[in-house]
Amino acid sequence: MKALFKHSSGRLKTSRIAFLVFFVLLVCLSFAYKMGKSADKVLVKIEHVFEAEKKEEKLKEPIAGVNKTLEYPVPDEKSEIKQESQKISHAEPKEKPAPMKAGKQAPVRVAQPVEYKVDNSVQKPGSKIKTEPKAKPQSEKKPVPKIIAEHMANHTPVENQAFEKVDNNKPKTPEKDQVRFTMAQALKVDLNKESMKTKNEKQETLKLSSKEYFEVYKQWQEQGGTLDKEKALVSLRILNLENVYDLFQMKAVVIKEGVPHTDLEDNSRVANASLSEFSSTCFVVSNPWGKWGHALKEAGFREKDNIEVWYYTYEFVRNSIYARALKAFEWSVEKQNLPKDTDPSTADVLGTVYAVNKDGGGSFGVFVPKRIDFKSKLSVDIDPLACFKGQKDIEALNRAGLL
Amino acid sequence: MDFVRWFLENFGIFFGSVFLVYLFLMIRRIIVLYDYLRYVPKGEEETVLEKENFKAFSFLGSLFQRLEKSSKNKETYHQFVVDAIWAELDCRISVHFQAISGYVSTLVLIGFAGTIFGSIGAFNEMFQGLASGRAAAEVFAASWNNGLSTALYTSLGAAAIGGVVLTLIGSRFLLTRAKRLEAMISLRICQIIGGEE
Repeated sequence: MKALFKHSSGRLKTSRIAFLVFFVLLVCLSFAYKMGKSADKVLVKIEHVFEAEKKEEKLKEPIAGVNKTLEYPVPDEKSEIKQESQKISHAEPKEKPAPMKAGKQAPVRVAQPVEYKVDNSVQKPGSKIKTEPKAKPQSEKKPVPKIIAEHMANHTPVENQAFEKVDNNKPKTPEKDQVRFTMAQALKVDLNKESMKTKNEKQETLKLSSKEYFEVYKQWQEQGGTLDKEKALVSLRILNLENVYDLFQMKAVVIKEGVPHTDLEDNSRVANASLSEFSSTCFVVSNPWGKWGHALKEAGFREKDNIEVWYYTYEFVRNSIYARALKAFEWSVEKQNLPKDTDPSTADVLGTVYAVNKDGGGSFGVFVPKRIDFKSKLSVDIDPLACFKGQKDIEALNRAGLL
Repeated sequence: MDFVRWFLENFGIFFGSVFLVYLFLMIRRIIVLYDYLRYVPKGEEETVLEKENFKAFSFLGSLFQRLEKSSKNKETYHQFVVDAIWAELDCRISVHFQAISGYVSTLVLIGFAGTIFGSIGAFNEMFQGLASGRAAAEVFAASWNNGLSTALYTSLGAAAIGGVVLTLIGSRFLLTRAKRLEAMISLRICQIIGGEE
């Protein structure tokens, strides 16, 4: 050992020792670096991986279950209630359950997490309910969110409503329809180099000149005005929303035990009154821990908490999105030569959201339907150029090669 | 190693490599100095006049023998031998101090260059991001990845490494011992020329 670091004259072998010291220094700095890194962060990463796998496995079964129930839909009693109360007065929440005591009606969930297996779809006129024996015990056994539970307690049984609908042949115009979301990772800004490689680079982003931008923006907003509010709505599945939800002026809010609790953007406590400006239509994240897990943990929530994540949105944005979805539905009905009176609620629209940026600053989001799945298991791919002829954002997205 | 990867990512490949090489060179010079100075007494209570402590300047042994010989023979050129002893001391010790000071100065300049270089990239990214209307968080992230981290870390690294090394060479473990070694050599020369044993 002595000969390894010393000459026979007693002098040190300085180069060897220098290498050794340099290496030891780097090792020490590595330890210091690892110690300096948040241990919580490491744990979060590990848990996140395992949770994501679990969630995916969990989701497989419920999705199959949902598809099954969609074949034999029962009416959406919440939609029914909402519709009726709207006809009377917007300010009259008589028929509505009021889990939130803030003067404003509670936003009606427009999508249910598939784990709950609660079906909001509407009974098709003339069709027979075949699932009564199955559907009822299923809804009783599964954990049901507070809002849903209160609806069931306060109103007529689902089966009876369904028969009423069939008998009276009422048009089904649920204000809130079923929306399911498939989302990727929640947006996370971290000064860590790897995570700082922003996901926005991978996002579906369109850059337009100032003139084009305003034309597209105006057209997108006006589109919402064309929505026939009396018409039944289609189900929605929106991709990429987690990356651009803010461009839709949406607010991500944690709903704890049926009550708005925390704003995920700044972890502040949400007051119900602060949500009064938003539409009563909310978009529900189907797998909040898979998509907002990091933010939820930072906000102090635990997985055992009874929480959901909802996107609150403004009415005009919601109308624009639904206008596009219904347009796609009508186009697919025409293309497939389906009956013109096909119920939109029997369809499920899958679409992607894109960010539209302006040179010099400014951005907003647009929704483009990509595919429609009917309950009859028919799938129709949407040709956006043909379906949304004359829509400038579609043309620009196509020119940019994003469609 | 995570740290090295982090270091190269944040300092940039070029500046990170330069910093690591300079760090190694400084460590090597300090070890060379330690090798020469480790036998020099460090305690204040100890005297530098101990005759037994020739080990501290053993690398000057042949020159001292030459000085003894010329002094005994009353040769007139012994002054040149004394000059040779001091020159050898400079050659073995002082040059390393100067080299380390040079590395520190150069490292500070390299850090400054890294700051300028990184700032150019970061500002470029900022202007492009603002012009294209990207979100502030996105622009900041892109700036950080494209120069801002290099700009800040090179300055920080140069200051930290330079500060540590300057402190180290100014400490009693190196500079004080070097000065004490000079004193010991002076006394030894006096002993030889004065004929003391």
